[in-house]
Formats: sequence, structure tokens, C-alpha cells
Amino acid sequence: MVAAFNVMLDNGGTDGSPGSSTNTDPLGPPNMRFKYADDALIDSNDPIPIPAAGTKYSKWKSLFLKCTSAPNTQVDNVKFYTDGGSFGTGITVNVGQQFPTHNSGSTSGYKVATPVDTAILNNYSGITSVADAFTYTSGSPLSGPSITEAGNIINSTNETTNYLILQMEVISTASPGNLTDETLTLQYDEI
Amino acid sequence: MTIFYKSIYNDGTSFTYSEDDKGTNDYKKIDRSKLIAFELYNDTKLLHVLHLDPGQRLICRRRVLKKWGRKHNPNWKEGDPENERMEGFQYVIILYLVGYQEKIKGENRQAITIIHQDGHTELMGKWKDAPYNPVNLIEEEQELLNA
Repeated sequence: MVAAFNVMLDNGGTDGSPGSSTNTDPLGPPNMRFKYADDALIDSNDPIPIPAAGTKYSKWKSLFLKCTSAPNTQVDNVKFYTDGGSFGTGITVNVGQQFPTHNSGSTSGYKVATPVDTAILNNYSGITSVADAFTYTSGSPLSGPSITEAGNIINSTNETTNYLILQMEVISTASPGNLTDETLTLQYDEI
Repeated sequence: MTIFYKSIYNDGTSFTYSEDDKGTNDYKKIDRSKLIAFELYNDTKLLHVLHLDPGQRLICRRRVLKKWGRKHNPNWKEGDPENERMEGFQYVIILYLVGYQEKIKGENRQAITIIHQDGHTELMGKWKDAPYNPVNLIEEEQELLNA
């Protein structure tokens, strides 16, 4: 069997020590849902309210790739990109441009998503800039999540990428039931 | 399906390994100083042959795209619950990138063949947008061992 990876979601616990680490692959599709609660459940509970003014924020999503079957030589060159669409007026999905530390020996970059309506920018440790995730397309993918395993490559089971942090923002002009197809892609190279 | 890689050397010998071999670092074991061809097999079926001239540095990757998102539910019709109008999806795309890089008049040039899961191929003279974006060259690919 070739190398295999799960897309994992950490939530709960405390800073630096997530309470749960969930493989999102068997959850769906859909495999992830932005919501007002910090969990990995795919349900209709805890929707993000549309505010009369200001901004409402989903709990942030701390994602990473975890190797479940080792490659022949190595895995690297991880990219994140979208189809360039959007979830509609008043809805933004931000992605952190930095990748807090997660590897086979450490979850030190983890920040628990307990505060209500808190942006990842400057609140998720190590995230000093964000961008609309849908600005990352096949023509300009986000280089990351990065890898802080030995040699900055993944070559053994249980090795991981760093965290990729996503969060949905909702403002008053949002409306329920928008109808656009959307695709997120995580890409990597294996030797 | 398992992909096998066969390195053909200029002394008549060869070196074969499988993408399923784990942690054996076979790609780095290829003797690039005498490499004249590189073959890909889908189990026993020959998929592709790359012929290499002196100065051409082998590049080979298995590129994996994990995609997820949501799309229109083709079975949804007016009157159905609104929350069933869209449906989630996830799938994986595998591409094999095989080619070489060489330096011509001081410039790096590439020729990369993309092999898709259905067997069709594309040939590129330079890197393009994802998923045809550049690889991170490893040390063995950067050296002109067979010049």
C-alpha cells in the first residue's frame, strides 16, 4: 500500500493539548462543518447566527494531515487551495497564513477554541496574518501546511503536517441557503 | 493497482522497486550516473518509458489531491427540504509526474509527463498551475551526476 493520510481535526482540551483528535474522512461527506461549537460533529446544531451588526465567528478548525501508512521515501510539498468561489454574500472563510506546530512529538501550536466570536488573527497563537481561503486557487495555492518533522518531510507512520487553521465569518448581509458549489483541496507529493 | 518503477542502466542492469515498499528510500538509491531509462508499470503492464540523455535529471512523483466540499444535489427538486439542496463530497485524485530537468545554455528546462488514473497522459514543457505546480527537488535531482 502506498502512503496514506487522514485529514485530522483537533478540538477541545487546553492550549497545547487538544482534548480530541478526529479523523474527518469517515465523518462525511460533508467532512467538516463550520459551527458555533467546538466539535467535529456533522450535525445541524450550533449554527452560526447572522448578526444584525458586527461579525459572528465560527469556532476555528485546527486541521492537519496524519500519515497512516508510510511512503517509500518521503512526502512533502503540501499545498492548500480552493475552487475560487465563495459561500456567498456576507460569508467569508479565512485561513491562517502561518501553521502552528503539530508533529508526531508535539501539539504545542494548538490553541483551544473556547472564546466566543473570536477571530483567529492574533488570537490563535502564531497566526499573524489571514486571507480569504477562496483567494487560494490552483493558480496561487497556499504553500502549506508546513512540516516540522525531521528534515521537514514525512517518512513514517504517525508523522504529521503542522496545523492548517480555518474559520468562517458571518456578517449581517449573509442569508441562509446559498447555492454555490465549493471545493477545498489538500495536495501533497509522494516519492 | 500497484505502480512499479524500473531504472534501466547503461551497463545492461536494472533496479526495480514498488511504490508499496515502505521506508526503503528506493528513489534515492537509483544510480543516476548510469541511468538511461525509467519505466513505470501498472502491476505488469508497461505504462510509460522515459529515455534519458546525459545531463537530464530524473524527476518522479506520485501527487495526491484530497478534495472535499459541497455541490448541488442532482436529485433535489422544488419542494424537497432546503437543507438537502446541497450535498457534501470527498474524493482523491492521483497523478504520476515523470520527466526530467536539464540545463540548456544556463537555463533549467523541464519535460514532465502527467499520467492520470484513467491512463491518459499530458506532456508539459514547464511547470503550470496546481496540480501541475513544481515539485520540491531533492538533492539527487539537483546534481548532474550523469552529465
